[in-house]
Amino acid sequence: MRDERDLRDETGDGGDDPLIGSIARELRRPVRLDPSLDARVMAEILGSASRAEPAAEPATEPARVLAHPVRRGPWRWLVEPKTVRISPLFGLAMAAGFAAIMVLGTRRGGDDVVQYPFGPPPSSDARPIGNPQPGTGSTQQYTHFVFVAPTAKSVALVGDFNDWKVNETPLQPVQNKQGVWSVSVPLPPGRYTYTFVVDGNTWVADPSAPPALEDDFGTPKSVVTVGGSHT
Amino acid sequence: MSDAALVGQVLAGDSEAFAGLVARYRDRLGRYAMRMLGSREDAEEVVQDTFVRAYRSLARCDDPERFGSWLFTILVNRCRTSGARSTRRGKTFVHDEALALGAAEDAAADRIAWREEIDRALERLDPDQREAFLLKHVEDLSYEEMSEMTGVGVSALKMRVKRACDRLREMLQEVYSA
Repeated sequence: MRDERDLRDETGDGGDDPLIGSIARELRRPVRLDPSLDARVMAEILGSASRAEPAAEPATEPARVLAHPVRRGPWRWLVEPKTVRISPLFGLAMAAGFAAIMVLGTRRGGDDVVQYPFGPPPSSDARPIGNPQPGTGSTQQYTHFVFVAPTAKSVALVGDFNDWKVNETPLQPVQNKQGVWSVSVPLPPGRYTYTFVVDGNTWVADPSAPPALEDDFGTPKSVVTVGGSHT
Repeated sequence: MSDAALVGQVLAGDSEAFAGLVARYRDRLGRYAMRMLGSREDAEEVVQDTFVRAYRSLARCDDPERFGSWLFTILVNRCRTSGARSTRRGKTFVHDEALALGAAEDAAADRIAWREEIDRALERLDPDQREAFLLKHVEDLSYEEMSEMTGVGVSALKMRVKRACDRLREMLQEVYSA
């Protein structure tokens, strides 16, 4: 808040100008926003809360956090997100490299494979990929599931393919990507319903996948289709 | 319930507690966004975006006691981004605001006219000057607070406020004196 020093020290910044005062008084009058704004905000928040934990996105671009520094433990710098600056050329090279990996990782004649050459969707992703161990000679097709949950202690995949057993297909934390979990599952061609289970008890549908129409128990589910001769 | 308590509740998993923070700060955020952007539609979009971003990054609020300032910092930056994308459009205030205050018709008409002049003048300020003027004279922040919020040095902010005031005097003194 303004203090007396500001008023004494400043010249010409309008502190004691009646015109500026009049302008400021008018501008301080309340404005009328759409009464549904609060509801829209909460709808978006609660919708995202059911998909992932809060504190997953940066607040500002660039980030400017107004706070007096709060001393925390010595490990804070390890877990605190850092800003990494890369040149546009390097970014393009990374994207090209990732695209190359995606192309090389697909099955031959891969018109039945979904590719994301510029990185996975924001929160999760279920996509069929080729054999994750190229060179083995196997024609087994794996589907790669990715889920973002920064504060989760465990994430599991349940679906038609594992009888909805929570302990059957756990996701593993992705190295060097805090909060990102993934698993690759061998799935023959077909249509599968699935969902993620966070911390053993919270069922979260894949926000980037089509929702399953059937919902016997009111739990959120998604659908993935693995291409092939059966689709 | 204090901001810190509400923030604590949200971080503990009670997302609906965030509604209390929305209700508490919506008007102030809306007022600044409206004055800065000049469009109710843009202001509502930015305010909604600000709250959602604040929720999603709530764990990064280092001092929940000062949640309001932290939230406002997000808003200021969102307004900058929004303002850079679109030009100000249309009139910003609603004819019935003055009437809603119960003013007599003549006084309401005078107030509306004065507000139109202010709005036009504000629109003609450089965005940096408009931002600095609003933070200083409407939001009543100290220069130190403004500096923390915007990343701009105190001296530069003082100069922006001074220039904004000079410009507003040029544009409005005659109308004000009439």
